[in-house]
Amino acid sequence: MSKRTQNYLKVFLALFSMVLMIYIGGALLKRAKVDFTQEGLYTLSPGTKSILSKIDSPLKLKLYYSKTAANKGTEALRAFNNYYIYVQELLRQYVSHSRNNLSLDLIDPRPDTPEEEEAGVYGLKKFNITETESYFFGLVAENESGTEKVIEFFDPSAKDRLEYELTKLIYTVLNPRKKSIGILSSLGVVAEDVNPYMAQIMRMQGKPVSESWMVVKMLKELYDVKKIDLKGDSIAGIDALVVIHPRGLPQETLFAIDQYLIKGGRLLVFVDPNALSDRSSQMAAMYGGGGPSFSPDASFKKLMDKWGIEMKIGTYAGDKYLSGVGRFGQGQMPSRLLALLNCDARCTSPYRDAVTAGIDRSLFILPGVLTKREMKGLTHTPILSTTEKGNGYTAASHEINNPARLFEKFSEGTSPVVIAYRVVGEFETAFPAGVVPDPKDKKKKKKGKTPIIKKSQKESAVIVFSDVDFISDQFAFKNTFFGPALANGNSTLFLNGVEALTGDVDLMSVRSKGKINRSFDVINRIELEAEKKTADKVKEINASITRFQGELNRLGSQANEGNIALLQNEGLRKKKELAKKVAALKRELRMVKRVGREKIERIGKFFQYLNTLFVPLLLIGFGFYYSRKRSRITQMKTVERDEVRS
Amino acid sequence: MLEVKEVSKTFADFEAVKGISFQANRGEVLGFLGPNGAGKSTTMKVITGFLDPSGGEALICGKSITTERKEAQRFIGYAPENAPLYDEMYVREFLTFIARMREIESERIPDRLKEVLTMCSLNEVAFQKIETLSKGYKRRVSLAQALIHDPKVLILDEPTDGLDPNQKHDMRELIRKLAKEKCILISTHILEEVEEICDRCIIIGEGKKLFEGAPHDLKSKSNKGKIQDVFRAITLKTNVSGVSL
Amino acid sequence: MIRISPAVKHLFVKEFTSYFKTPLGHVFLVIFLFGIGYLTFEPGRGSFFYIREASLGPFFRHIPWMFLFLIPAVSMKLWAEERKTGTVELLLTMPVSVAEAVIAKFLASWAFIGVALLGTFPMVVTVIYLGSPDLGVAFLGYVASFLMAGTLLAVGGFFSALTKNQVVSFILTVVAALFLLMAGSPPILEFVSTVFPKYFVDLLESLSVLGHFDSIERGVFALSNLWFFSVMIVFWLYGSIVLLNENKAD
Repeated sequence: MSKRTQNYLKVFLALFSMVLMIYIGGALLKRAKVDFTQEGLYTLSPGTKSILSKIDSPLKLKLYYSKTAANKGTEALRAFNNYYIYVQELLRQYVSHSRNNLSLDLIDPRPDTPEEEEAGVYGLKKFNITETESYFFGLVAENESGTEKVIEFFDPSAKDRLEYELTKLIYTVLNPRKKSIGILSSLGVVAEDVNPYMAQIMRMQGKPVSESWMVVKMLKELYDVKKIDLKGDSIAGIDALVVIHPRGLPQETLFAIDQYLIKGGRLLVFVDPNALSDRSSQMAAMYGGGGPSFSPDASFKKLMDKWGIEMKIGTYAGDKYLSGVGRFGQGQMPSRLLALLNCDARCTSPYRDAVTAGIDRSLFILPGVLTKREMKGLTHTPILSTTEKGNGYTAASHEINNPARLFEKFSEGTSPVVIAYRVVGEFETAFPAGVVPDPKDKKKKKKGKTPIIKKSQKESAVIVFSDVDFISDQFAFKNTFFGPALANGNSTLFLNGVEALTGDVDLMSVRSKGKINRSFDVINRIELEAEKKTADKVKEINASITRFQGELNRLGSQANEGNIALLQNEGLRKKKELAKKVAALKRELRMVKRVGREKIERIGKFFQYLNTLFVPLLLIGFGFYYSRKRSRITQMKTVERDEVRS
Repeated sequence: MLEVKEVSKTFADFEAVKGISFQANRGEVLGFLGPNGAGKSTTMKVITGFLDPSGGEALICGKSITTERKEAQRFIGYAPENAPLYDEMYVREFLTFIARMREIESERIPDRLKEVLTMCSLNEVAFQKIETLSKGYKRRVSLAQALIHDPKVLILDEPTDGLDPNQKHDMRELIRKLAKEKCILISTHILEEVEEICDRCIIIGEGKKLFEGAPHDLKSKSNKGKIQDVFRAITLKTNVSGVSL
Repeated sequence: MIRISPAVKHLFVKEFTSYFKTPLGHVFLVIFLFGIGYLTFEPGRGSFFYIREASLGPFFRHIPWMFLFLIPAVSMKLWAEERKTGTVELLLTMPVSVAEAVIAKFLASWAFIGVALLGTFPMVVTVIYLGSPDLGVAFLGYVASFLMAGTLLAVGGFFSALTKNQVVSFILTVVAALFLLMAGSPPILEFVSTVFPKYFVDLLESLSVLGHFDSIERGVFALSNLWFFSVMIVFWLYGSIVLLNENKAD
């Protein structure tokens, strides 16, 4: 063999062994990694690790992902690949922390294979992307005894909750026994279970089909959910009670709730000074009746007084810096609304509470203001609030629909306004004398003897939120191509609350990875400022219109036979003046808006130039300078040398 | 000082050098003659350690170019054919770079530069870019870089090729001057040059040594005193009138 | 212990500074910095200012594609030029081994790309000014870019040692770099899986420069990524050394 051939062989062998080394080394070293992300996106939380450490029998995870199909699909579908990689990465972390109890299978279900059939049987969501290809992206967890749980579909928009979803899946396989949760509500939160087929028929017949709220459906995945009768007089056999919008409850029921709490029960309460979700009141409003649907009513307030929590009706929590953008009625331009409270990390992070931690995007609609009163034996912990600039404002029901009016009434505050409180301790009864049974109801007469427990013997807990609407389907979910999806952290708040009260500490500590706010703060500030200025201008315009109308009225009242023509002229002149003034103001308004927009554009342009031209120009300048300097040095030295020589 | 033993070099399918041996000592200028493609440059590349010999070896000041390459290379100054240089560098900068690569202590570099620049008459162009230089200057820069570390053995591959008569004259003067302390191996196909500067010459053809001796020996083989005839007779292996080998 | 000769140091310095002495080096830097800035801010849905997220993701996403053409432009002259002009004779008859020369030149070109990456510092200033970026991830993005540059330079050096012609070297490097970048990409894997068995597809996927780049750029530094880049660099450099020993005289 010539040396040349030998050398080429060497190169070939080297490249071949390189490929092998990469392949083998890569497989061996896959686990050694350091997570550099601030959120710890690739690191498991202690709660997950704790649950994983409790696994003592083999558990099989099957990740279904139609990789081949996705690659054939559109660009949008290919974007799921990134999320698949993340899911896979995270699952590998699970496996490596499970002391070999977990195993992970990656399955790419191709059309007309047993795998595809299996995926269908497990109930994974299937999307047909072409005539032959269908798309799956779900997970099945199976243990030896045949318990299986699935995640039907991984939604990339719920990325920060992924770890929670996965841990929950494993947790539910490990703990098949469900805890039971009671729900008591004046709204149709829990509907009777109607099977889909029946529902279809009922719809076709034009009968209304009531469905449970989405949050309740989510709750049902984890718990045994029981609807508590509004008129019931005893509550028992549940691990926690959820009370939503308590109004018009009979004394017996209130007493039952009171006694349930005192016996060590756990309460999650949602009250609201203005519940838009109460359709009955909206109907009433439409026909000209009544004000907003509020809770607590006077009788439930008595209970809350004993918890040391108060919420004034007609007072709302607002925060300019958290106000959301939306439209109040159809056909209106979207604008900033004080009624919408977009809570971010600033609302939850100061409290580091397990219920709210990491939830940096939640939306409240006209929430109330919670205040506490010190009570012996009770500890009050705020868990969610506005920012320091937030404040309470009062608004009559007719003012609610006028966004500008609300902004006018609002003034910036100096300390956070609390929207959710947790109260822990030993509670006292609100019914020291018991309940006088309704004499008309014969059945209940016997139960009048129920012994009253006046003070609880063991610790109980209550969590109160000052809004109901935020857990409604309208505000907590959004419709997407793949069906309803989480719109924000609202439903998580709800589930967190339930879970905190039922005491699954491990799972609770997993929850959401949290999203650190990485938006352009500078730009947001400018937008907000422009918004503020625009509002001022609009106010000014409205004021001058009002003033004009006043003057016109005054002129009208002075009118008599003699001066009518004169006054008409005067009126016309004033009208012209006003039109001019309003036009000028509107021009200014446009200017203000444009100035804000232009400022942002300018910043964009500035950074674009900074990043495309700054260093290159510096380099070019430096290059010219340097080359000239070099030739100058050359000349100088030559001259010097000549001088030396002569 | 320079000892070449049975050096051969084979490329893929072509035997360029077939066992050449010779010696050269201090104070000697050895001319390396031969037609184009005879293996002159290849032999030189083997001696300088640029190419590995297929057989045999070369000793420079007792160090083998194959087994003690780096040590042997320290004794050699080499000006390759056509004077390849880093064109984008300035003359002084280039020579400084070579000096550093040759591991000359940095405090001695200015002295060495001065000496070499003067010796090769490069002071005029020391601050010029190499690419702007004329061919003559480039040759001199090439020679200067070969001399910068004051090597004992100097190997010059066609150093006068492409120069005008005056430049050739200067170059030869310089080589003669250097010859006193060094052992110089110089390849050329200009026969007068051999007569003028070499103490001894070797003629190679088709990779083999065909003749070794003093230039006047070569000349005396022709009754007309024409060295060119003798060269033709030796390299072409034909009978040339008036030449007796 | 291998003694690193001072010649390596001096050759490194000479090679590195030569990038700044020729207009070519400046032209490269200007094109790279302008290009990456333009692509990052390019009007469109993926644009940095459109997404309004204080992250260097949109910036790093374009780095592999800038490198695809610019790295071969840097690496093509590493050896092809030396061999064409004959200066390789000058270089390798000095007391420096082929391996040392290869390493010194490689390191110099790598350092040059490092300087080019440092030149993108306004991008970091931008995200810090506009929001609160994850600086750990940003740092890893730079590490990933630098490691990828090293790998592509080593590949480019290999092809530069293979041929005397810079243009051929450039084209070969672009093709090889494209292959390495795309090795893990869905369309290629899809195509390969129709012809070859599964383990071959896995093998190909593990060779994907882009895959390893993405994995670091996402914010997780895995030993397997470091292993990949190191092995790639070492073996392509070894290939260059063997190749140069073989054909330096051609």
